[in-house]
Amino acid sequence: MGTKHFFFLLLFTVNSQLIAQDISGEVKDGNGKKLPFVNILIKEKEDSKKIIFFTQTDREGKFIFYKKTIISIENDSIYLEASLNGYNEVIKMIRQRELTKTYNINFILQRLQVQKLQEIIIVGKIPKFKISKDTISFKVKQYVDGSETKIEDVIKNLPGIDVNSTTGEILYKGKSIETVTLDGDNLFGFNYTLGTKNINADMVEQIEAIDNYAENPLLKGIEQGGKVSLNLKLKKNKTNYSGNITAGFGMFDLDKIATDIQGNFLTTSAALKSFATLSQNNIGINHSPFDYFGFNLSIEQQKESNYFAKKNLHETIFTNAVTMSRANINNQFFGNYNAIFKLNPKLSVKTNIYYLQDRININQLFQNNYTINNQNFVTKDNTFITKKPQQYRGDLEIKYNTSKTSLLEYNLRLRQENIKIPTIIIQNETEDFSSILHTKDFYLKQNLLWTKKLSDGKALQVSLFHSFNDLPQTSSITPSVFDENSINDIQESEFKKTFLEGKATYLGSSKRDKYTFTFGANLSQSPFVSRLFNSENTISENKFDYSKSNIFNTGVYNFSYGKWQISPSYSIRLLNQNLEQNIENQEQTQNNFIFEPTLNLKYKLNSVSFLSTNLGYNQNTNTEQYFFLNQVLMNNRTTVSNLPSLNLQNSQRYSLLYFNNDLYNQFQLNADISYQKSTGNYFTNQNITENTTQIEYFFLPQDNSNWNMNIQVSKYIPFIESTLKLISNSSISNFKNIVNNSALRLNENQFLRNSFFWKTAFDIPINFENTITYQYSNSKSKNLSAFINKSWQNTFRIILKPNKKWFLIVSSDYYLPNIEQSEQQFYFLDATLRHKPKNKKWGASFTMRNITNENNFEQVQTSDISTTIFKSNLLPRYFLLNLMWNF
Amino acid sequence: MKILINIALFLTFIFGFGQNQYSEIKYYFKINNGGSPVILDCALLYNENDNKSTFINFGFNSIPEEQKTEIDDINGDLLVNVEKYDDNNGQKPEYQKFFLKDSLVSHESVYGEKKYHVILEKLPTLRWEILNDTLNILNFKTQKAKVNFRGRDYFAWFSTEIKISDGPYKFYGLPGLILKIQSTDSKYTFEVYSVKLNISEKHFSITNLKEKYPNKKIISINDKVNLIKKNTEKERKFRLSNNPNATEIKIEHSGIELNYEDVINGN
Repeated sequence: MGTKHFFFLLLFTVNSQLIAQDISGEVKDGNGKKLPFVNILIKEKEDSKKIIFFTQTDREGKFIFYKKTIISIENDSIYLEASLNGYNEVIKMIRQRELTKTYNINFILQRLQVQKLQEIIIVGKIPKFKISKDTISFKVKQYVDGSETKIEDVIKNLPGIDVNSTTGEILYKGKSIETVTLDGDNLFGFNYTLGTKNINADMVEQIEAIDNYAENPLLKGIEQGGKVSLNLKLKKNKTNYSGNITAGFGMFDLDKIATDIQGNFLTTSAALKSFATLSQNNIGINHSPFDYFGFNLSIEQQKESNYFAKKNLHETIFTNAVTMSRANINNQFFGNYNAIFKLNPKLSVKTNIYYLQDRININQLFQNNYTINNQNFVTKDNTFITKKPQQYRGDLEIKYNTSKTSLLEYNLRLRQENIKIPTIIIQNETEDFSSILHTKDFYLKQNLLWTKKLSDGKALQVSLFHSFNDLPQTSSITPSVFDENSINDIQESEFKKTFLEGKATYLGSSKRDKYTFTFGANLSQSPFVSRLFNSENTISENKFDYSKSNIFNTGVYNFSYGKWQISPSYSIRLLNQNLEQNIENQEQTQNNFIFEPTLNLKYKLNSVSFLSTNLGYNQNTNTEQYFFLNQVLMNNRTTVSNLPSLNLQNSQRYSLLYFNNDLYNQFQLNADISYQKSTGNYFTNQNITENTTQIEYFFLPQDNSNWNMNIQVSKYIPFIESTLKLISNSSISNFKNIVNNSALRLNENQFLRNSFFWKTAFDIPINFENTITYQYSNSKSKNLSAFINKSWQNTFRIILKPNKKWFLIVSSDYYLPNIEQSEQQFYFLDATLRHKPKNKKWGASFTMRNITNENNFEQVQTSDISTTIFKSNLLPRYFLLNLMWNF
Repeated sequence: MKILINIALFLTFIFGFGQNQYSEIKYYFKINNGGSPVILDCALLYNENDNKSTFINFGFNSIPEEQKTEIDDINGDLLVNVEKYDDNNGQKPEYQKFFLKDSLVSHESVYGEKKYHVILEKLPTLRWEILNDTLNILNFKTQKAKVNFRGRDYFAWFSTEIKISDGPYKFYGLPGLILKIQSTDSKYTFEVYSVKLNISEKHFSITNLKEKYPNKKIISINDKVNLIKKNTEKERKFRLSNNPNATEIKIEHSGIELNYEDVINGN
């Protein structure tokens, strides 16, 4: 280190100017040159490194300490040090400093001898951290204005996220999410809509979108990546609980009371996290994840559809083009409780309890204009349905860490569902029928899963699965369809399904690749019994036992190389099917060796876009719904029977997807095209008359194929301060059938739907939004004329926000279901006024729906043999006053 | 933090002032908006003869694998999107201080802009307040100081044993090298982990940003402020027009510089 030269000089320079009582001076080098950037330090001790004040010389080599800066120095004596890199340090002392005096202190610094400059190297260690690149977080308050919206409304706005408005399914970067966790805990599983549709936006601080989500922490990094999830980070309240209550009361046009009441309650603590919701409404809202109005399967039901028995007898309802909230004439009561208890660091128990009860009134008119074999005729059915579903369900999940590297999980579900559907049908405006369909559904599922982490990149899983589903149904139709002397016909139908599976999975991963191998076997047994009878005789009976078993091996390999991600996978299995028709004493057995390869490729074009393609080949068994031989009565006019076959269906699919999410330019473009061809299908042989429809399903090794194209483009245009979006879906399907003893017909359905969306973002209190949709469908059979329908739809909304507390939306929907029939038009008007005082815990809103009081809605659909007009009733005009309270 | 002290003494005989003397100080830059931190590798290169320095942010990739380790999952508050540090198309943030010319040239990302910009500004005026606390960092005795810079308060630890009035990022002007500087909310931290002093020119050089990116137009700091304003407004309108329910959107900036009042009001 350098040497120091100490100069002790006592300098008193009295400055006659009384104003400046500072310390100032000048620094020069040995040659008299002025030195800038010299550090002048004030210290209390000569040899101390501690500095009290400092300054630097300017370009003239001058420095100054103002009195007001240094007035706080207590010591009488202070030291001034001048230091500059490459020069010697000089220290001067001011002894017994007087506050009224001005001091002028000059320094001369000598350059250090060069050979004293040594190279010095000191190296410490950078702290060790590995960053998870997989999470992006969004602050909720940036997406909401404090109005009492649910968190699903906020999720819809996040970039890269799409929400299906019917089912509530959430897609992140094009992939369906696994779940929505609360502060990291998976409370809801696949029924995450319970959380997203019910939790208030102001309970949530942030939403995280997580790539490579792994529910099982032992498998993190080892499991095949690509699972995505959302995590809600809740606001840290002073109390451990929060919730909200909404109470809405109003009147329908026909003097019926309208209600919408809901309460949500959330508790969070170290040992217990729970969410409960209770609701009642008769304004068409479905607060549950189960759809009893239409036939949409929830995400959970779609994933488990393999384990369910078939529901053979269905009520005849079609789903509306208008939103459910207009057509669902309901009276729903729903209760749900979800909780995770962390009993100790190794053991956690989760429970979910559901109860639902509803009463749905549907009045529908089906008018079919048939053209078959050059014959034209019309059928008309006017139906009055009251659907009364009831469901009890309880889930239990126990997770136990048997050691640091192993986890044991046990899952149990019990569900009992009863649906009663009394119906009145007026057939062809002449005959009256009444029927009651009673369906019971008992479901039990249990699963035991053991995971063992073998090393950092390897794990083993063993699982045992058992499920049982019993679906007895009874339908009674009055008067009898088959016999004049009989009062009614009764159709009993019962499908059962037992499913057992055991499998072991080996997972491994390294820096660049991941692989998974599974070995296992499963067995499913689906017995079926049906009986159609009346007081006179037994018309038709069925009894079969269908069993299916697989011994399988599947493998998935995922490899990343630069911008490519390559993922081939395969499935090899030995399939055995056995179908015993007990009444006819017929038995069919079939054994197959099946190989199903799939390839997924993804290429990252740049930071905002990628291209991906998927190719696959599958062989599938047919559903047991096609295995009963003798007729089953579905409703007053339809019977179904089959010619069963155990042959497999081979299908190939090819798809290409382009995804571009360029937030810098506020531009999004998704385009995908896919082609699917399946060889070996069940086709229908229909015999249709004015009063009856007989359908027979039979198997042919013939093709059905399908092209599907979707494009979605959206761009924000600064010039007009608006976002414009264009969405286009189109499909072409080729399929075959036989109608009224025809030869095998080749049919084609073409479908096109184009939507144009425009929303403004002006800075004035008023903004607009408009969506216009055109739909085209064309169904034809070869060499015959086509059934064509074109329709228009337009939704226009005005959004008024005069200040932060008041908020008004007026919305109008216009429908023209058939361009050829311009007199059939439907026009809906709704308005909502909201008030939320700032920082208060309550709010109020006033809603008016269907102000124009449209009481029914019509829709047109085409098929290869008919044009069908569906007409159904709607919720009448109502107003509702809603009060909300958050706590 | 363990300190491995590796002192190599080389006697360099230098004749005349022909050769440039450099100092290379390596910092790690920790961004901690809650939860798990992001660690980036940076270096400050100081040229004594020309009185200029450059501070480069190498990003995440340059940290060797052995020096990284696992941490537990996130349970904290906010997490920064790390992707922007990994995929900058090779762009590295760099800040050059020219003390004689009283100017600072930056090469960095600007909110809402796809490519980095080269920005020219006057060396910001930093009003340091010296505090009493001391601390040992890498065996250097340091003293604490406080400053407010563009909306944040920082604590800095500087050592007069290294007489370089410079520091990481845009910080400078203390009577010794800033070995550590941290915002008072602990969200941004620069801390030294390697010091190399009096290295001869053979190993280092500083290329002016103007010459490094000849095709980029140099913008002023006022231009940067206006770009941020313009892009923020565009983003706000974009989100507003995509948002079916809420009718008010706020965009909050959470970078290291929160406001530019010193520039708007004049230094």
